[in-house]
Amino acid sequence: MKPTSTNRTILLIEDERPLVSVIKAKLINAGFDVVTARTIDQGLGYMEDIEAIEAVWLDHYLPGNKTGLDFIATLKAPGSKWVNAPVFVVSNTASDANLRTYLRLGVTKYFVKAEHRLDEISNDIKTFLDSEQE
Amino acid sequence: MKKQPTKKKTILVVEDERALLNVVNDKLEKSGFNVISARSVDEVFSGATNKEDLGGLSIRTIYKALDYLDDLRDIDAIWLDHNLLGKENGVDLVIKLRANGKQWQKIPIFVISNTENPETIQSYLDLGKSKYYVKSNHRLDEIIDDINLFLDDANNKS
Repeated sequence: MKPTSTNRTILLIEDERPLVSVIKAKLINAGFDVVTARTIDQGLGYMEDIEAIEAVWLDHYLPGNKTGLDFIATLKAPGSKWVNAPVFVVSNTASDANLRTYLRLGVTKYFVKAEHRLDEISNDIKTFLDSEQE
Repeated sequence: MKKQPTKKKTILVVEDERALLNVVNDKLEKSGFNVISARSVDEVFSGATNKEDLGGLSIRTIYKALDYLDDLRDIDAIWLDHNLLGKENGVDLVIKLRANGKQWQKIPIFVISNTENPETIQSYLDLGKSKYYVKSNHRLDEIIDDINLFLDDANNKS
């Protein structure tokens, strides 16, 4: 037996350290267990390794050549076991083209960071996941 | 295939993210380690229950870690995250361990963190026998293989 938790686990992919701490605290408050990654590849590695992950909070701009779009493209590729995994993009990069691409690729919801408080987004994600389960 | 060591090595895992910790514990156990852990005060289990009932025990705060270390004489290695629950981080833990007598000065510490800050990394290296991994640059299995190699190598030298 190992320590268990009834909390849902969410993967937070965000590279700015101060922001990571704040978002993580909000998600924990909303009732999540949080795993953090700061690059796309680390996030994809955790999806492979950590089966408990039920949802993803994804930033658009990340270190390296890849953006959140690369993450989604891999995660939602035809035949992928994560086709139905809920992914929430939280970014200020709300160009219409980006937004449409995310939604076309199967993102659950796109939050423009400047328009929402972080705790509001966290609670919104929690509510969404809880309602899905019913 | 890796040869099974004659005596199981014991590793202490200190990581604040529960889901990650569970996976790390599983992987280390599969790789032949005896994994030791303790939960922080907000966890349900008491220390005593932990040791008897749980295969893996994890430490999410510094004070919990130090409590357990006083009891544990057989730790071969420490897996340490930099950012932990509470005000103190992995560097604080290493400083306290190193100050706590000779037995802790020889234990290899593997710091596995998201932090790429050169100053943070240097403070671990300055504190002695530590190895630093930036989480985003390594898969978990890779780090575990590396720890096994390091410990086998150290064993052969002694």
